[in-house]
Amino acid sequence: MKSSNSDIKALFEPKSVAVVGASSQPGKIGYSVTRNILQGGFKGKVYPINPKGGAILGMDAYKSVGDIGGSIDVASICVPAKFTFDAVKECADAGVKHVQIITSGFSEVGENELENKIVDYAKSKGTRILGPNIFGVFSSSGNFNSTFSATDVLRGNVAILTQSGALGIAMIGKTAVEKMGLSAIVSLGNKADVDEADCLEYIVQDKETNVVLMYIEGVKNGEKFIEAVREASKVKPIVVLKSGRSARGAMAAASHTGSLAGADEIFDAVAKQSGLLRAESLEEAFNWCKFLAYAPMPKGRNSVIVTNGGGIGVMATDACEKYGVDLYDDQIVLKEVFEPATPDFGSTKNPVDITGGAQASDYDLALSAPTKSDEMDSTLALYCETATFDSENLAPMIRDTYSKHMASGKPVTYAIVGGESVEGAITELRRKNIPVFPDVYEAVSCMGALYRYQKMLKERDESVAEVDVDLKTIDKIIDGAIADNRTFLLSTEGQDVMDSAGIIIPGAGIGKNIEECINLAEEIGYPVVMKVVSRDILHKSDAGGVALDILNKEEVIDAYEAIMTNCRVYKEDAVIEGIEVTEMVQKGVELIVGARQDPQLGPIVMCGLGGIYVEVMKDVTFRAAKLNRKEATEMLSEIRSYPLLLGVRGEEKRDIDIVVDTIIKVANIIRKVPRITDIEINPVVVYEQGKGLKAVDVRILISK
Amino acid sequence: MDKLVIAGTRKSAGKTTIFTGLGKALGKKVAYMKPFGDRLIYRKKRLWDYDAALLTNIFGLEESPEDITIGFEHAKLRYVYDEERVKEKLHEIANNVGKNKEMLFVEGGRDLAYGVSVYLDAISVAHYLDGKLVLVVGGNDDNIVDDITLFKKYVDVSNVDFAGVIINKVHDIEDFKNTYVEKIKEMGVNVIGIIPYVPELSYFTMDYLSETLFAKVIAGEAGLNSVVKNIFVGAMSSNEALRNPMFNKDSKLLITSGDRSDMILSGLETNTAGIILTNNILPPSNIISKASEKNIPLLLVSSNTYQVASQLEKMEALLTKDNAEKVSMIEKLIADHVDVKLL
Repeated sequence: MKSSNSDIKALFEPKSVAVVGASSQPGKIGYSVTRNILQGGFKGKVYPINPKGGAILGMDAYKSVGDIGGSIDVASICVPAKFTFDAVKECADAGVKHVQIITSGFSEVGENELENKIVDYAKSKGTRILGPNIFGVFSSSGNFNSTFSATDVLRGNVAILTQSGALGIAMIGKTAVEKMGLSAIVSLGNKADVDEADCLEYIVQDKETNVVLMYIEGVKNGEKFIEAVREASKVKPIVVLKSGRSARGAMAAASHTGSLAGADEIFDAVAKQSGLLRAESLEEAFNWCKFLAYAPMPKGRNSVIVTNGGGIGVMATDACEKYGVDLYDDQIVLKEVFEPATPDFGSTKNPVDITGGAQASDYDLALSAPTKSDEMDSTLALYCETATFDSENLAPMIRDTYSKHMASGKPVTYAIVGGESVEGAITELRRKNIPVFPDVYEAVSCMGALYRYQKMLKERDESVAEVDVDLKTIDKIIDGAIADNRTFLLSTEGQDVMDSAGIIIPGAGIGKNIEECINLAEEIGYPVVMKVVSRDILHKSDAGGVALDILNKEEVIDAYEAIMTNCRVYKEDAVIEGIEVTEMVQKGVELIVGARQDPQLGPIVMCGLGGIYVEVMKDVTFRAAKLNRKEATEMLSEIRSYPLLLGVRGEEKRDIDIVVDTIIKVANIIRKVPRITDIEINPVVVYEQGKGLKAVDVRILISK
Repeated sequence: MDKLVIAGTRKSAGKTTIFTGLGKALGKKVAYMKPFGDRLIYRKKRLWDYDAALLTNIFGLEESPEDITIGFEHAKLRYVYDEERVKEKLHEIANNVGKNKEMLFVEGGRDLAYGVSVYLDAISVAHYLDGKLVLVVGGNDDNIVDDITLFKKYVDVSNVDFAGVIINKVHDIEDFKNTYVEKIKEMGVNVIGIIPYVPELSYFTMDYLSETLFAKVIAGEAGLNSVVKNIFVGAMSSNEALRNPMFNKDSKLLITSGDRSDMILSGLETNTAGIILTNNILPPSNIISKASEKNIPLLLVSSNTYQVASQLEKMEALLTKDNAEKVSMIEKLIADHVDVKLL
């Protein structure tokens, strides 16, 4: 998966760059790219390429890349689409390491064939392709700006990887206004070759980068993506903004970049699992990035709110619950720490209310207190404009208390609400990267993101739960099904797969006639369940192909009759292999455990509330299938119906451990058997602790 | 007690319908049995035939429908019964249901051959029970004449009292009478009745559909009695659908996927008896509310649109016990078009 670090580094810190399609005419992309490279302080060699030759921005232009003669790290292609393949070919033949294709008109408009041709040729020569359909790359470490952005890029500590060109260019402008400097910005475009996984490898190691922001619409190679973000998030916080969440959004993403947005709840789950911080909006993403770039990591989870208004204090409390910020509650310590700063009619409970009469000096006292206390780890400072406050001291007070927090290694955010003077203070302070917000939820959400990141780092477990699965047996079963021209396994085959992984299934057999069914029922022991076995009937219940709670021989005969008759009516030409006779499992809590090869994210495992209403209740959670026991336990605990497993209304606790084992086993199957595309075990009937579970019905789909 | 065995030459000839009408037309106390079931209902481990359940209800019989059918499936019948046992069982049921009754109706299987290998075809049953055999023939005119001719030419009914034929679902009675009846009589076959085709008898209700398709009713329960007269598969844009004359026919059943909000809304705004939502996809709640408001049933099924359309293609609009209107219509048809004196 990994590109070599030194290779990808050349994209960000090239020593030489060629601009194919360079131009001396202002307004042309080839001009802007060349100009930005020069004005960006690039110290390496720049080769403008134009078949007409001549002089471009004070340099002699080469007529072709082949004329250069030396090694070239990066070539930026600015020629029309119809000339792009030839341009890439020239570059690849000349041994260029990275080609950035600015040009659009490829897979985003359906020209997949041309795009694939370009990538294939480049790959054959060892050249990597960034794009097409991009605005270029900026890298502070490399003093390299190969974008065609009109705005100078303000340098700083945030790196951006963006799949949207227009949004990316707009972000350059916005970051400049917000004074949020960039260490790098990479336009990924169509991601025909180089993608975010490749770039992350370099970016998180870059000392200029403190935090990474990714805007993505779709993921092409899920397993590669997951592995890359897991590794990267260990090093630096990664904020992701992913669009295509809604059905309409997904359609827009498909037509925008030809990306499949995929099921959003799956992405969300995998993002959390991989340590990504998912923002809801561009504003939120920027807020988090600015904050995370400079905020110190808190030593603990004790937060305190200091406010001059009760209402905003309550809002902040709500926000803390929403964003997972724990509020410090030791009343004695709070009183001790804040009493000097709080009038008698105020409150030293958390939120600490220093009342509407507080002046800047009172704030200074109140906000300095947590910086000296070992009990408090972070602060949320709230201010509502009052008529009596010395507003000219607002910004100085915030600057001062912020410095104190930074000096003590404690993060702080401010939410200040008011008129013109307040708005002015916000603008002035944000330009100095002090985390001040006009809305309390914005302030708390930043702190929440920091705490989530901290928790992720602390609780991180890189282990992967491996179990022994009899792969040979499973492959043989699949070979048999494929030979039979099927893309699904029969229920007996599914049970054999379960058996190969050690997942407990009820006793079962297939009877081809009444006599065999009777014998099986008597061997397994009543009560039994009888189900039709047919490649042509997938939804057995709908076909009337299931009979439950069969207690004796006469009922076996009746059930056989009913199933055969119903199935023939349901699908006249159905090939009926026989009737499966299985043990009738006792009642328990019904769960669903499944897995699939997600077209975006690779092997995914799922668990949730099972039974016939699973598609209506949709109480399921997801994870990437490369998971450990802790992650499997967490995903189970996240289902809304989890309390049923803990025992409700006097019922015993269920065997949660074995459910976790089953999730891990299913995850192992989907990872190790790529020909299996979908597994669904529904219901998994779970019994009391120590009494295990039974995988009652298994559906497995395969691909040829 | 007289015994009347009605056999059909093909599936859905109309045997049950004819029994329904004869019950009243004959003016006698009737009993009913259906030895070889073909419309199985299996619930709570009980098996019974749909027609048996229907007719015991319509005739107000005391017997449980389970007790008037011997079986449904060849393998089971072969396993449990031989010819002697079949005869015994037939007589046992006939005696039980026929107590204090003047006439026993015995319904044959779906066609003449059905059940012959397990001794339960209509001709064997008529023979064992010493009953009168009536043949019901339906379909297009050519099929009708072919079936009667085949029967007369090749089927041996020498050990059975063959009463004649009732010709059912004829589109143009006068034309049929003028063209074919004489020829049939010349073959030596009694024509007991010629019943016209009535389109209303082929309609079904949304309630019937929801049962047949195992659908979940998610809105519009109050409209489940709506009758479906036309079917439209919504597989194009709603604009195109609205332009299609078939979409604007009355009492239509619309079949479309649950995420086709545009199509569903178009259906709700036009003359629609009900909507089947396929692929188990629930539409947005505002659409469900609208359907509820308009009492237009939304039926949710897990199959895809093609599967549902195929099922409907093969579906028969069976009579239901609650459909008093249809029952009256049938009673009148039989009274007007069948010479019951010949029975």
